[in-house]
Amino acid sequence: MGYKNKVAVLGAGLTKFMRRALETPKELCFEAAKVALEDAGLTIDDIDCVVSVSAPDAFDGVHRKGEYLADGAGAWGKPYMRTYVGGGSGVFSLITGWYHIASGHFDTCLVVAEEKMSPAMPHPQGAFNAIYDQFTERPLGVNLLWIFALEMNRYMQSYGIPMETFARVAQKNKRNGLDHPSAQPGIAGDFSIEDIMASEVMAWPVQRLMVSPVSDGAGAIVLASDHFARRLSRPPIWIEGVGWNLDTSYWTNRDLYYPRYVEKAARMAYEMAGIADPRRDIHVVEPYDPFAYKELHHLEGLLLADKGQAPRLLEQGFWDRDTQSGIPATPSGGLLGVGNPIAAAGMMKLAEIYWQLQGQAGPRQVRREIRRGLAQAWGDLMQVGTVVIMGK
Amino acid sequence: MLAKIRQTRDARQVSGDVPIYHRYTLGVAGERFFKAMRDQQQLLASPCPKCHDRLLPPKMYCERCFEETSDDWVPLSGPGYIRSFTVLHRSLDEEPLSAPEIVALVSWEGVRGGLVHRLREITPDAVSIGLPVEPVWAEQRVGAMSDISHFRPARPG
Amino acid sequence: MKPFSGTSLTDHAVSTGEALVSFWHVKAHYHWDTGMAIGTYLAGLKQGKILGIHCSGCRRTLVPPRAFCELCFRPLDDWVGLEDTGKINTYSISYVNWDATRRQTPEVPAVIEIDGASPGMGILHLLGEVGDTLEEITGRLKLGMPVQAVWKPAEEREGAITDIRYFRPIVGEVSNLPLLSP
Repeated sequence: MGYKNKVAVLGAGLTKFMRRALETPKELCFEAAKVALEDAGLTIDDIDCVVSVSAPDAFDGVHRKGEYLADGAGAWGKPYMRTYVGGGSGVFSLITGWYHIASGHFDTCLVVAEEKMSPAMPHPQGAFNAIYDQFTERPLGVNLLWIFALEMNRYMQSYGIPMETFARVAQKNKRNGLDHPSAQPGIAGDFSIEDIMASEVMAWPVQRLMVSPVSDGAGAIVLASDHFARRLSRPPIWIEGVGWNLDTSYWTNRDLYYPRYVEKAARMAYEMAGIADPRRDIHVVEPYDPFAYKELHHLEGLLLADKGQAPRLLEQGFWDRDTQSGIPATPSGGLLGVGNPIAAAGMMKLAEIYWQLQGQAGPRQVRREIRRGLAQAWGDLMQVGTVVIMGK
Repeated sequence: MLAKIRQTRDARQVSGDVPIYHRYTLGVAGERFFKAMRDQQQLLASPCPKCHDRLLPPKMYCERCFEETSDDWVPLSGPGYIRSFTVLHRSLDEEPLSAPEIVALVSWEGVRGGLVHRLREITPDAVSIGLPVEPVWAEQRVGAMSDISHFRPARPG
Repeated sequence: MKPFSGTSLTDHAVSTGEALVSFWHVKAHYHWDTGMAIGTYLAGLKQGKILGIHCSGCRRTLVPPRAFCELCFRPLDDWVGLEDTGKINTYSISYVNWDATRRQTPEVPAVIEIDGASPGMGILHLLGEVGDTLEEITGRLKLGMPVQAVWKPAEEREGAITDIRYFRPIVGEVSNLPLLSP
């Protein structure tokens, strides 16, 4: 495949994640973008183009969200694009930025992801209703939790996975989140398995402490072509592979025990990165974890564990942050431990892989040697897989 | 599966609502701007330390320079002027209005930006671009654009 | 690195007016055209029938029916009458409403594979007559269990998915279906 440019990651920035921010969506973008530019040692004048992502306009409540966020994302007077694939958008943002530069059209790109869920009333969860089919699904009184609970039950029962295993994912991520500067108050914490197992049932088998919260927040990353990046003193981190895939929107026609669209996105990224053995060549991973079971579901879809085996590996400590022989999963704390402002959450995972590879993750730094990391996001009605692989 | 519908009654439709509403926070800049309107009947503009423009409505950052605006917000004094205006003859639902309404973009000298608001106490044919105007403050103010009831031609003195 | 920004607003600040907010209520009302495929499906439901559609390319019989096969990307018009029985593919027990408020009695949404359609071809619906508590329901229901549609009486049907009230377990043998698709 002939790309004009290799693409480097030069810096990343995030805001805090909060249940409700004073800041407007634009202000959140500005804050994140400034931190990213500073991390990269650049100013807005060095930026050739801007990409933004944000999930449904219904959250922030401004129905031209891309254009609205533009000036907070530094896009005034610049070529600008917003792309959208539901929850997959956070990671897809970097893919969009990647092809702006890989195509040879631009040397630098600022990528901004933002979500402000708090304005949606009576509860942000209600804004998700409109993603279901208006004829065959909405009249049943659907709610977002249903689809996750249905998938979790299918996955659980296909392999006989006990609830404690899922509680253990939530525990791991919420503990990891304690070391993340963006962590939403009350979300990260040292919870016992008993606490998590005793949390209220929302839609069985989903329990409250196994679900990520509603959040406001933003994140940004600066990308550059290889010749631009090589002028800077710090060794860049490269985007080695990107992949994305959508399955049919008829989610009830699919067996939910396995996310094949995540596998297809992963294979596309592995091929581009020249990776034949992901378990050997991916050293740190940030799988999308809006619900505790989903982390395991996605680790299997990413081919980092055989089908049904991710839970067993969890019990063995294979995905722990301080593992030496396994693959640390969600060292950031993830959506369960830091928060879930939809598009910004995926960006947070990308930023984590970047900082881990730069050795800048501070107390979250994984123990084992790492040269390549992967971040993945998921979206819509069990439909979207987006994957980015970075390497030193 | 293309089919011709010969009778409109054969076309099937399903009706429904998307029942959400929004409660917006005003933002770091917005809180300060609207609280000054509510509590001091004052309009403020925020200066950009790089291009020195004064932004109205005030913002946390200047989008051209991509820098944070400085803290010393400037109260607008004296009348504003009409930058542009239009005269409405129909409501949002396209019903005829009992009397025409004037909507204007009002700005001040030395300010980048302006406010959109209603212009009253003047007939449409007397309005011109450049006309000096002043805000009429509402009795009850809550920290919203409605804290200004309308603009009217500036009175001398 | 700059410390991360963000000013958190508490519920208290918002409800007391310490933090200003503004509201926007919009009437977002829609008239959705159903298209021929869903239009026919809904008309079938009004008649007390579940209709599917067959694709001769991939040989799947699809439900809900559609105007084109999304795998083969070809138009469809080969309608098939399906049974109003099926098997539970998965289910949940929900104590939460769409707006995150709590329910006293649970709702049991499920994906039900409809008999007569291709294997794994499910629709979203609700289960009923399955018990009232978590223990009862999880004790009673098994994936793969056969269920039967319970319809509204003909005069109450309107051509909507809710013309089926819910699906209920068919008393009898539970088939030992392999749960994993190839």
